Amino acid sequence: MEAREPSLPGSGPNVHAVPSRKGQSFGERCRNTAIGLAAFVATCLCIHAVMPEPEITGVSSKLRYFAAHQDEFDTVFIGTSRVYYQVAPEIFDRATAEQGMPTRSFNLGVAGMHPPESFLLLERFLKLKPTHLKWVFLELEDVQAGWDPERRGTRRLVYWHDWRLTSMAIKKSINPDGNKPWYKVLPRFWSKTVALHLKLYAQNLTNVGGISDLNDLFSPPRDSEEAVHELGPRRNGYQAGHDAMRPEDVQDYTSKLARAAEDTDPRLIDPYAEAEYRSIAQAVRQHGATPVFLVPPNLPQNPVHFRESPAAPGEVIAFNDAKKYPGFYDPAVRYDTGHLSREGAETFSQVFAERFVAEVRAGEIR
Amino acid sequence: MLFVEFRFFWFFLAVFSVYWSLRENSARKAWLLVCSYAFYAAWNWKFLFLLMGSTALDYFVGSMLSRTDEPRARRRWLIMSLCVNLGTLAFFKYCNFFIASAADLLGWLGLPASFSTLNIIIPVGVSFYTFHSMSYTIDVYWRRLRPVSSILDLACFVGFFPQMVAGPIVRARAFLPQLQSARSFADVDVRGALVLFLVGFVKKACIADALAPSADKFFNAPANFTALSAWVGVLFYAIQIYCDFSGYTDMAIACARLLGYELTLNFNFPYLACDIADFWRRWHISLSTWLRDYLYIPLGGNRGPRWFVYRNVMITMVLGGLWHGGAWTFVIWGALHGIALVLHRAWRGWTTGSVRTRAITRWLGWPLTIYWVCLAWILFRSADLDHAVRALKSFVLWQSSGTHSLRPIRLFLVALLVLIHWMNSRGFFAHWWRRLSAPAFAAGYGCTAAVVLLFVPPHYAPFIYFQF
Repeated sequence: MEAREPSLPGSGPNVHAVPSRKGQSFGERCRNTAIGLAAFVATCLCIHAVMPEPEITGVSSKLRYFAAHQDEFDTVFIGTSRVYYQVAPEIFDRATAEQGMPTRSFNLGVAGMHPPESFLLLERFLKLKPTHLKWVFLELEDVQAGWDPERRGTRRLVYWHDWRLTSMAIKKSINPDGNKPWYKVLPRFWSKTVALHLKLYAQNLTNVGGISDLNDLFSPPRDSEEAVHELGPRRNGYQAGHDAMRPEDVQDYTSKLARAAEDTDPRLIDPYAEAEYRSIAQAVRQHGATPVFLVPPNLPQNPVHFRESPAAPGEVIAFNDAKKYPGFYDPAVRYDTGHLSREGAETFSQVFAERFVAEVRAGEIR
Repeated sequence: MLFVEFRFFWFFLAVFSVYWSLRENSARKAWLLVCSYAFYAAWNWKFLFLLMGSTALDYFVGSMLSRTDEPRARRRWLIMSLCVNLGTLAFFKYCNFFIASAADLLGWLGLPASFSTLNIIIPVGVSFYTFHSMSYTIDVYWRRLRPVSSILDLACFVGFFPQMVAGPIVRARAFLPQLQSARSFADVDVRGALVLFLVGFVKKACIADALAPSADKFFNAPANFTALSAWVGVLFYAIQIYCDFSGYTDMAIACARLLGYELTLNFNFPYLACDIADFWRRWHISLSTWLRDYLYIPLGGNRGPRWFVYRNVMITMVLGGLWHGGAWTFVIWGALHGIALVLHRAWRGWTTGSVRTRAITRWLGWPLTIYWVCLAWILFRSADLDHAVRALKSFVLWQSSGTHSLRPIRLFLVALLVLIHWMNSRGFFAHWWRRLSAPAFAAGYGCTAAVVLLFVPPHYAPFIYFQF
């Protein structure tokens, strides 16, 4: 069969090059390149502005539900899996009611939701302008510059990479304490972490795969089973965690705990997270609510503080003290080094509520 | 590093800018070589030594061939080069296949034997650069090409990054002369290359990668799907492999062209072929012509009795199948195409001069060819013969107890892509973009590229042919 004349080069036999116009000067080529780049960037920005927010597993359904039912809640918990699986709103509310200070709480914790990603969640949460809000509990954590390899290629890893949060992750990665001079920081730019965050930023800005976000918009709502799992059976954002750890893991856990208990020196929250927490706390207060920072019963035993000046943006309720709260570090109530078991979470929710009420009454939380 | 990754954009920008800012051809070639080796080292720097070794050996053999006219000595040098090149290929690609097949054979003969296979990592693109390198030695042996005086030229040819890892398989005699004269930017078809790159990018990232999950789902568990879904899965794979490989080739040709080099044509609307011989004139052209020139013709080609020719066809196609990898599925894939080529040749012999059969061939040729090609793709894609048999049962006999569906409604996508393919072959997307003014083209290109990115899946799948 005769080869036909195709229209696109390389798809057919007419791959013979057509020389470029010899009349083009270097300046003209630069101008054309600049026009092309400008058109590319402008189109990306326009598309980015009109694209719907992507559907992020674990995040979108919770925010949507909260937005639809925000009048029903006056207390919100925001944080990682240590909040998602460990703060049971129904137990918390029962305990506060028993103490004479009733609350109606919602758990906005999401597994793996560390700063800076959690800052975007907070931003979106505050944009909802919840009117009945009284208390906002924020899990206190440093900015995490690292990333979970399991999330590679997922929208969850990409969607929060706006310039503010990307630069925060990069700064944390190259200058963790914020006190290194520039000449020591500069060589650290050449790292996989920096490259990854820049790539994710570019991916977000250029809307790579954005069509699937549109697809979500026109797709029927996700099946109720998945939504129930994210919102929890009581639709308060809480999902019961796991059973206690296996007996063979106890040895490893106790040795890790013993090592962690040797380091109890107080430490400051990193400067990037602190600046962001301060600005969020201010925004929360503008909404008429009170921010409270929470450190769940975690393995690192160092008390975490804000810098003394200016004054701390809110009270820190910390439970990462095995001596003070030995009940939360008993292997019988722990699922792993970072998380309580289902039973431990229920006890924790009760103790947490009682301490919260006590501190409010003592005037420490204000 | 894949052509569709962000980091490749920065890599190529650096290669391009420095390359054209250098004035000396030797400096440009040295820069190209450094970049090509860096590109390869991004996968596994250890295998760089294999690439260098292969280049050095063929440079040496080429030099020795030029120093002697004594046929036996020349033949010895050629055999040495072939043994080392093919031995390397055999070790990395076929060692485990031969071990496992030998164990199976002995077991079948009632002599059960237990051999442990080796944990071998196949170097990326080994089949491609070995064939590049071998084409040089064989052409020098046949005196079709004068040996290069500088190893830099040969190293640049073998390691040229756009075509090193997945072709097209460029002949030494087509590429080496291009290296010998300095390229001029004024001769570069920048616009054509940019459009070609974008077309390749769309094929790979927007079509092949989008169809891959459905095709993978079917081929991972063919028995779970309905017979109709088998058709969807197989057709999706047929489009995926075409868009994946021809997309890569388009991008490779575009990158080479931006550096002033022309690579070989590799695809020419293969799915519009009206018979199986036509298909092989359009599919992976650089491999099929390589096998024709360096295997089929030396075996005797079309000369001799009919059965002798059929034997040559079968050997060529089976070895062509084996070239893709050490697995019986590839061997059978090659054999299926060999059988089809033999039958086609026989049919052509029987029907010469008959107007009625020519008409039948014209009308039935295209669907029959597509059917056979898709059927053969089942063998090509299946993880093993067991999976292949299950998929074939669904595809050919419409027999499947599976209940899962791949949403056959999506077959409209296949129809749409076939329509675009056909329209393109008919010149519907003619070179209107060449008539635009330079600023209009630049602006249009920028906007189009931004829109294309919307359709790219968030993570890229490696090119299918990288594994070969």
